[in-house]
Amino acid sequence: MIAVRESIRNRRPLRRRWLEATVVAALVAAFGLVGGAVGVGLGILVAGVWYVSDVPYAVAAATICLVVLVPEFEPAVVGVAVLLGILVVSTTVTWGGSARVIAMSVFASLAFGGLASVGATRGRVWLTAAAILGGIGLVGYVLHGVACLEVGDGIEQSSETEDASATR
Amino acid sequence: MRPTPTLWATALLATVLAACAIVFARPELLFGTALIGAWILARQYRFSELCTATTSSLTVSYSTEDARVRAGDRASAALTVRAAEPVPLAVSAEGRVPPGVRRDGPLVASLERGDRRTERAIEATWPVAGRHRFGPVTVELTDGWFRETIAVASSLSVTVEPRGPPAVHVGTGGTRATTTRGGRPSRWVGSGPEFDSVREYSPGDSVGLIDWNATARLSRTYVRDLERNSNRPTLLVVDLRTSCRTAGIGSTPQEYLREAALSVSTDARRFGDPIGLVTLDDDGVGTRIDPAASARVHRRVRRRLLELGTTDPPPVRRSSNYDPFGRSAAGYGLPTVARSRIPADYSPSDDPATEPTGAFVESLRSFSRVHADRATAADSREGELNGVLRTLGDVRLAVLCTDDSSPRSLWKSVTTLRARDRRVLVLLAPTVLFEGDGLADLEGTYDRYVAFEELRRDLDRCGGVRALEVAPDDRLSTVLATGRDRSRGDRR
Repeated sequence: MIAVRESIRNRRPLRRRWLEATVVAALVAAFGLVGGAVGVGLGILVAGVWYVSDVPYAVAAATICLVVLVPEFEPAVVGVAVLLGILVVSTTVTWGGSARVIAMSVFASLAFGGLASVGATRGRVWLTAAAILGGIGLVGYVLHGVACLEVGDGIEQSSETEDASATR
Repeated sequence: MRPTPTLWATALLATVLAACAIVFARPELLFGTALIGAWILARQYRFSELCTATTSSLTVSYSTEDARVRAGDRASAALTVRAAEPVPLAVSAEGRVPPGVRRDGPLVASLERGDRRTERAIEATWPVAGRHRFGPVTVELTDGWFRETIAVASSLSVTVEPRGPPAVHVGTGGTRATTTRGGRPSRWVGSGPEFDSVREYSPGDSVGLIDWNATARLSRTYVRDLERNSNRPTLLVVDLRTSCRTAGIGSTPQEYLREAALSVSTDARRFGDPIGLVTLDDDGVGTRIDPAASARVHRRVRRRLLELGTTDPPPVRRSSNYDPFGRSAAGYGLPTVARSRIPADYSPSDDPATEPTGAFVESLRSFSRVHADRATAADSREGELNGVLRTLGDVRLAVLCTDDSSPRSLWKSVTTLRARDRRVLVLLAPTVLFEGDGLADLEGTYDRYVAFEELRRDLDRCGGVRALEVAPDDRLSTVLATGRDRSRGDRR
């Protein structure tokens, strides 16, 4: 297939990620409030993951650090989760996404985050996990279908010959 | 829309978090799954938007140096990707070069994010004759997480013309005529009032066209070409009978005649004349394309001409003593020894009791039968041609491309074409110059060429008929040199 010269990691300069950086700083502070010095250390670790890779890996690292830091589910966990949700939304702003993209990220964060919150309080973890993964898959499939309808008809094609006359 | 491995890794991360949440009974981990999922969906939606915007501003184009090349020639091909505004996604376009084309690399053009234009050119060699169509361009768009592939149809094709014979002579008695480069015989050129260009005088040009000022200034004779503004429907009548397809020297008369016919076709296109094509094979009229001035018809005629000789391998022409068609002109065709042995009153319908016998006479009888069959076939062919001409309407110039293997048939064809006061251009290939061992006996070959030349002149003397010889340049020069040597010897 075609070799695409595109950097896999969408690393952008830090000055363009100021909104994300602000949210990450707040996240470090939140970790400090929850876990003290250890929390700050884990928060800095999450910030490092965010800096060298991308938001999804930072979210994963933050969730794992939170589980390590807090032995039981408590309201502080929800507070950190909300910050993570804001981090996800801020990424779409950094992309320069349209209002619809930002709305999409807000909606998805609220919907799936809320579902996770309900699952955490009700205790049916496997059902919640299945609902979240299934929901993501379903919405992704719908978006794929819509994209297939919209994309593809637009490219204009033309053919040129520098010398259309006969060679003879 | 397909995910890249990076996206699969991210999705796997979300799934692992969900699995860990179930295994370790820690529902907090589901926040990670949910937010990574939300991020993926936002990314997907964003990619979809960018794809729509990018594709609507994108133009993909193929271009070639030349739409018509000779087999084995090189002609570059390029793929250009242009965008109305800087692209927000990485774009890569891969052109599908026709199979059989040798190239120096893949035809892939890549547009980086923020670029507006890119072009990739390759050097391509076109070894196979025919029409080659470029395949659809595969355009891939990606943001590193998703990729979208779109096929864009192509309308570009390159016509590869077969290699022609090495050097084609078109002229009279060894002198080149102006038709070889697509011009017309000078006696029919220059009726228009508009001045076109000045060129060097070539034999056959009218004295009235000489540009005396240019001649005096440049110390060479120059003539003025006047722009033709004719609308002369032209019909090419191409002989595809076995004799024209018989190879003795590697190339057949048909290949040489095809080059001359292509030249006439190019000429007609240049002047905007309607052109048509009729092919005559052993069974009668084959292809028939009615004259029209449209580019489509011109292309069709040209394509059909290019197809000639690219199907069946030609039969091999035997030695100069073999004459399958029984030439009828006195002293023309049959070897000298054979002619001297034919009884003057010989007729194949004589009483068997009085018929001469023997192996040679048996051979003659078989020739005679062939001749009779050929004569019948020729009659039916001319009848068919006549019928076609009647339905074609206004044809003012008929160009007959044939050889001299059957003078009787040739005369009939010319007579048929000459009807309704049409002008006739006969492009005539001397078969003697296409025989494999024809140059072994140069004296004999020259004699037969002289006979051919007499036939050509006879045709040329007819009102409204112009007859030109079409022959291999080198062989003709050799034969003519023999004639010159003989003339010098006679003078001494």
